[in-house]
Amino acid sequence: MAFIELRGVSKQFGGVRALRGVDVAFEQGRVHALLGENGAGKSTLIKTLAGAVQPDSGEITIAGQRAQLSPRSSKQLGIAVVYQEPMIYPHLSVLENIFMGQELVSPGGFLRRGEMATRATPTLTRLGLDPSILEQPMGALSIGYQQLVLIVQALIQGARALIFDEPTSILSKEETDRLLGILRGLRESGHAVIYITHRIEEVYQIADEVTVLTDGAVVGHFPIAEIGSEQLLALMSGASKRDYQKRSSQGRVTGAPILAAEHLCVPPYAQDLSWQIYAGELTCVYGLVGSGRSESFQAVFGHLRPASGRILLGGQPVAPRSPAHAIRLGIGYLPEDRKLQGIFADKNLEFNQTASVLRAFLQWLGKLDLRGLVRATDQGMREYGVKAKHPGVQIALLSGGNQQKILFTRWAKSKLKVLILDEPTRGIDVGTKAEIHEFIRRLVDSGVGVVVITSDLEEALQIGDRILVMRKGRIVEDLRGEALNPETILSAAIGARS
Amino acid sequence: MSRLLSSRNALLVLISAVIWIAFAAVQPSILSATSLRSMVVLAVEVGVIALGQTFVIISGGGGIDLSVGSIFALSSVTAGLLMTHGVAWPLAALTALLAGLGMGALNGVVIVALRIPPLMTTLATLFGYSGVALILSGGVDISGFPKGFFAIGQSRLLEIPVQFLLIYLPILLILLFVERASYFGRALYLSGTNETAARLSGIEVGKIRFLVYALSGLLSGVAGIVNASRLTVARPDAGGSANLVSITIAVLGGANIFGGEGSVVGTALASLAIGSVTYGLSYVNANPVFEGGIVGGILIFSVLAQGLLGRLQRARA
Repeated sequence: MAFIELRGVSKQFGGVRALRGVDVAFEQGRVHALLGENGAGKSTLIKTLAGAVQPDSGEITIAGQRAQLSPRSSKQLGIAVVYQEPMIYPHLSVLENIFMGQELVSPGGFLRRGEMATRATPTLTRLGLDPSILEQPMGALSIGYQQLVLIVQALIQGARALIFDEPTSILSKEETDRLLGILRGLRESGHAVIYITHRIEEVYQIADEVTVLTDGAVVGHFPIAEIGSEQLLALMSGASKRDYQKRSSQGRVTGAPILAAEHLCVPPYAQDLSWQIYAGELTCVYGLVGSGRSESFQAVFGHLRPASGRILLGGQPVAPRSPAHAIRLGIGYLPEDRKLQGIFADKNLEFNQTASVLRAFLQWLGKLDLRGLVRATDQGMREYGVKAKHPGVQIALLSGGNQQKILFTRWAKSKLKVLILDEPTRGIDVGTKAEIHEFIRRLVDSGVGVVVITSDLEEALQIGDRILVMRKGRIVEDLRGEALNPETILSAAIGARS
Repeated sequence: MSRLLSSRNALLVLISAVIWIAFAAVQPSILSATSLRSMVVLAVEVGVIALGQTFVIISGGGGIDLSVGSIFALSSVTAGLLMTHGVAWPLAALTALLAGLGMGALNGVVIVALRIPPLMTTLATLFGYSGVALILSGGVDISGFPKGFFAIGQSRLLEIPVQFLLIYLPILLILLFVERASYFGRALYLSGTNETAARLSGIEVGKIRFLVYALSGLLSGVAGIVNASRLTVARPDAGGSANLVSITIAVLGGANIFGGEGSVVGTALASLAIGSVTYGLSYVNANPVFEGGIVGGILIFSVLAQGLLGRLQRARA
């Protein structure tokens, strides 16, 4: 019988369906890989198992018992998650990290360090770690070792199922091999190992079975021996295979690029990037999280400093020192994290929408044309269909989609040569998403050079005239027109050789 | 937001009224024009400093200026020394203002360019500037100023103290304009609300922050000169209480210690409330040890009341 079983689990965030009727079972003594591209629902599934997210419907059984998972009960039932970025207390020792919240205490309230060390030692040795590591500060260890410490912690707390969230994405080759060895050991000792990844080659190295998620739904479950890597790739990109009206952009693009990069290096995020962006063509930049997409364009916007290389705007070399400078040059950037980098949460729509164009409303002695600002906001709201009563409403009270429209208007109303939109539709409902796609298209048609950075392959295919694919800080594909094909793009992005 | 702030302002007026009524119950003679004038004279000096402190706090990034009292002291010592060495008083006062501006600008440079947190920077300059004031003055009070200088802090126009009518009020109105209607004010609130978003919208957050510390220094210098003129003496150890009192006033007036919120009108009304308590206690000859407790009580009460008002408003919305 399966240790963990999910039946018909669904979860919706606002208008986004993150999980749709997921059926999946995880058995003890098996390594079960969960494969899917960005936004396929992998993270939501993990959070559901960790008790951090409550499903809207469906049921979860653990060891045959129906379970209502909270972060506490999930832990008690023996589920442990090793997240991509280890969650640690860097200034405390390894021992203190392992026993965090579960300290062994003597009746007087004193910590029993000796006994804790004795308890930890066999597990450490089992994972090939030297017990002397216990006294080191956690922050002094490499990320690879920190992961191992967290595995030790999970085992000591009695975990029976261990979930690994893309554990190798930040590891070196040696660290990856060592980790995979440890996972095999966990399988031998009868633990259920759930391995989340987008690296197909690792699935074949480690997994006994594989489940593919696409758009929040399970699209396939196979014993590993019965499925080839080409089929897996096809399944992962499956949702992107719908019909797209292929736009031929060749006719529209004329003349010199409006923005170009020559051998641009933004360490440690991106190396030797060279590309050209043309006005009148919608360029999508697709890549997995961590491929250096955002950072390379933040360098163009003056938010990060490139180490070398040139940026050309309309053929002229430019070196934006700050976002303010980039905006004066005619470059705009809509950041990906709406809440942290985009909105001024407790301020009204007028403040939010006009933040980047304030200088256009300057009158005498630094005075702003206040009526003009309200009028412009009102006009922008109508033009882009923002659902709010008036410009004086606090932006935090709006839905994510309407907030994003306000931010989009912030840039659409600036006089720009180039606009970079970083994940412009992340986490917003389908209807608003389509509207924003329409607005972006209008902007492109008006002659602005538009770059859309996205980790949603379907979106890239749907709106892009051309797709640049990035992987590990480099451009690995530059495709237009007929060459836009989901499998080519996905395999370039994840580095699969097909 | 504006409704919430205005209701806080109404609350501050109410608190001031209650304070006056309470003191009048103990000592009815307090209700007089003379009392009002004396209270205003008392409140203006720290009140001007609190206006600068308000902008510093609004600018965010842990914005706080602990050195205002020391700038106050060093500015007044500067003016005093120049005057006792025969410099004409208007020139001495102007130099003292520039000294205040310079000290504030130094705070700003250290905070913005060297990225040292405001708390650390201004804690260091609190001791630094007051140390310089003690050295320059030899640790003794400076007096013997020309008569003309006393006009700043001791004369009246239309029965109103000039430091209120010709100094405090114009500054308040200018800052109100800056806050509500200028590019600088807008950029100030945006920088304080979300620094990253402001920067990514093209606002030069560093420039804004530098300017608020420079302004805070300048206004502390203004207060130092008014104080020296009123008391006819420049004291190197003056202003020690201005640091925390100015912060208290700004916060009581609605400045959010995390930045992005606050107003000079709120701060002005808070100055009125705190000034009333201070003056009233001295008028009824109460033990001054009560002052701190009462001021603290008002602060806690206003924070609680604002939380309650906010919740009521949200419930209605």
